[in-house]
Amino acid sequence: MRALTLAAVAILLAAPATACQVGGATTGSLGVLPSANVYGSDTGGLPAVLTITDALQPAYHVSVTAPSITAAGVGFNMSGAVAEIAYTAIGTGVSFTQDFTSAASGFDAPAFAAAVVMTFQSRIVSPSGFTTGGYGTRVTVTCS
Amino acid sequence: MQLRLALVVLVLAGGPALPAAAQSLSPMSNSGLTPSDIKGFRLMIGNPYKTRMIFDVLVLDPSFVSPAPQAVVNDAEIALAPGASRPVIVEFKVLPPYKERTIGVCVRPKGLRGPVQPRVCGLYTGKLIGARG
Repeated sequence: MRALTLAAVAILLAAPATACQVGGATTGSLGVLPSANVYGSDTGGLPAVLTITDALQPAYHVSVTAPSITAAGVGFNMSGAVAEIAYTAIGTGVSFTQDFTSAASGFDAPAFAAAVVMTFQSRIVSPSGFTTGGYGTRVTVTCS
Repeated sequence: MQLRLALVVLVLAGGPALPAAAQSLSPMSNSGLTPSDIKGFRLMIGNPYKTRMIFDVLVLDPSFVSPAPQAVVNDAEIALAPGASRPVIVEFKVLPPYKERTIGVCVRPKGLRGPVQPRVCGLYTGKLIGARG
């Protein structure tokens, strides 16, 4: 019986580390803001949500690239305009908050952080205002 | 101006919240010896969620930024049914004069629109036999 238990433990230890499973995301949206210089998902829009799951994964790192503006209205003055992102990451052993930033960011998750939910808020800050049209931002979230 | 602002509906990737893709990569790191200057790894790409998805498999430098030279994956684009997984083979050359080389592999949903592009990445190291440390 003891040998069987040891064998089972050995099999578990020999199993390859499973992956970060990244998914369950919603895309979110920007809203029309009272301010003429800022448009964001945190006022009138929807946040984007991403879930990282894995019960067997050892400690891992999540990195978020600097946000970029991927779509803008015709005639929009890009000079001086900045995309910013803020997010929270909440899960087993993880409680991380990133305030609005235009820079790359990230956090470490401990082993057995089984489910981490990341909620993103995006915004575009434009001192010269906005023209009519669709606007978008993008970041790449890497689990490694 | 009020009207103009009202018309400026800013939408990220189509507006309403939509389910996005998911992916997994296993193992997320590995290393091994090679008798030649070519090292290969068999990696499992998984789709643990409920919709069929197509994934790009990218072979990159260890910082996951630039494509890795002299490195290939047999299926750079794979379609997976819900819950399915499939192996891919990644091969790369250990470039002289180095005795080992590490590459990155990333899996990302193909053509995913939206403000958040998720990807899962791993690091894989090939060492020439005889190289120690």
